[in-house]
Amino acid sequence: MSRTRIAAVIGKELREYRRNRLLVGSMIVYPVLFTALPIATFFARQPSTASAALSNHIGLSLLYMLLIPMVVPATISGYAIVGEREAGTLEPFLTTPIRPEEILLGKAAAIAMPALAIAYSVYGLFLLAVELFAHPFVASAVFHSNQVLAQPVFIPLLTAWSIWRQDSRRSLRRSRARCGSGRLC
Amino acid sequence: MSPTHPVPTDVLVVEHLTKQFGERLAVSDVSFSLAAGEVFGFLGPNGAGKTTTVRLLATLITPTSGSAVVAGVPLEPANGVEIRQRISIMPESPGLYLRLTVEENLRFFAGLYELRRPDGRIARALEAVNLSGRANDPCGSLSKGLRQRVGLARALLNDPQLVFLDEPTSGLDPVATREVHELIEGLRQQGVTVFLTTHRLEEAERLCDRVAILNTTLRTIGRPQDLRAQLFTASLLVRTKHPLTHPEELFTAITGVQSWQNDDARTYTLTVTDPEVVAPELTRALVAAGADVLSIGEGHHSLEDVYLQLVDEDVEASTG
Repeated sequence: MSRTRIAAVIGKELREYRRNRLLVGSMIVYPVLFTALPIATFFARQPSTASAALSNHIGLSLLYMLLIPMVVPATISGYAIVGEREAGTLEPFLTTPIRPEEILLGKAAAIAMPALAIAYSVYGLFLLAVELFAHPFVASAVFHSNQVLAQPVFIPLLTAWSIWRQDSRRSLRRSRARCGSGRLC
Repeated sequence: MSPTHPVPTDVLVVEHLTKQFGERLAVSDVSFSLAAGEVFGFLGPNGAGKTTTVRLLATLITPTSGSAVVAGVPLEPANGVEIRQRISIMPESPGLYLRLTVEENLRFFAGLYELRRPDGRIARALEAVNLSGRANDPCGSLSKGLRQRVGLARALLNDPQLVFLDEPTSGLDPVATREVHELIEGLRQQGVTVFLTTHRLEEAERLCDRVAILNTTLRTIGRPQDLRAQLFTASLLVRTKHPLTHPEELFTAITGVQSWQNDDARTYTLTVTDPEVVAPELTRALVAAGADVLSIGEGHHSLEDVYLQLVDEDVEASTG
């Protein structure tokens, strides 16, 4: 496998994402939606809230935020392979010396990078907002829950699972099937 | 058609190449070879298997049977990457990333070819297609003709031994078409072998050293002038101001005239053995007969006539 080719794919993909307003819009809207609700409800919490109920609420809110590393890769990957096919760019791409595994790795990495960046940034903003604006009792409960530590571990795992689930490999095979059958690699 | 035996300078050697998609035979028993620096035209009606042949040779699809040596590398599954390093393809639609600039498109492909010092290569490729001043323009803002030029610049990036151009002038206006023709001439001068798939027969006749006509099987291959000579007999066209009074008597008396026919009352087509021998004697005979001659010229058959003759034969064979 060639690192140069994989890096070329990553660089090209990231440039294309950045200039695709619809994609950038989707990458912003979903995280905002999935973050606004937990933050708003935490600000509304009072010290009088029972600790069990608060703990449940923290768990649910953080779980809700874990939708971000699942939804963002799905949004991007829909564009990554299908977009190439529809734009007619896949065939010239496949006529270069690139191997299928390099395409998949480059595309997967290019999907994972913004997804991870968004998921961690949103999570950081959430913790900052809780620390600065939530009631100290609520903030303390959030920072002392186990889920807070588990969250950074689950973000990459869910991102990887989401990318795998999008089945880029199958999409690529379908694309090749349109060209004919079986490429010499 | 028997395969052409490879010689050391052959950049492409194809032997008995066949591709079947399910029940449908797309390409059958195709054999030919291309010499280095040759511009080769690949003609045929829609669905004849031209693009399938290009995809086979570009390692996009695997042949059902047959073999090929592309840019010195045997067409085998293990050699796909090596073959694609040595060739380049410009599909009918250049397939550019429209949100990226011209330079970014080329830089991406330079990365895929693992080119060292890509800046110089990109600059040279842009210069070759007269696009140096548009390097920072988004490809989406370019006209179709300019996009074709970017596609050609991309095809030149890796200094290929063999370039496949699939309908490079399709949908272009006459000015853009002329520019593409000039670029192909430029490639020939640089010694690059060009495999040109086209529907434009006058384009093939003008640009190509040799042409092949494909209709699932390879119907014919050769230099355009040789193909014309193979398929059509030599002829002379005579136009007079008034109809000749005794044309039969006049024409049959001339040595070398095999047959003649009236196209209309004042135009006569003569099948002759050698126009250069017959034409002077015919002129003298016409003048002696008091004919008011408007013109005497050699009957010209274009590559289009060759193409139509062969394709019509196929249509007749399939319906008969």
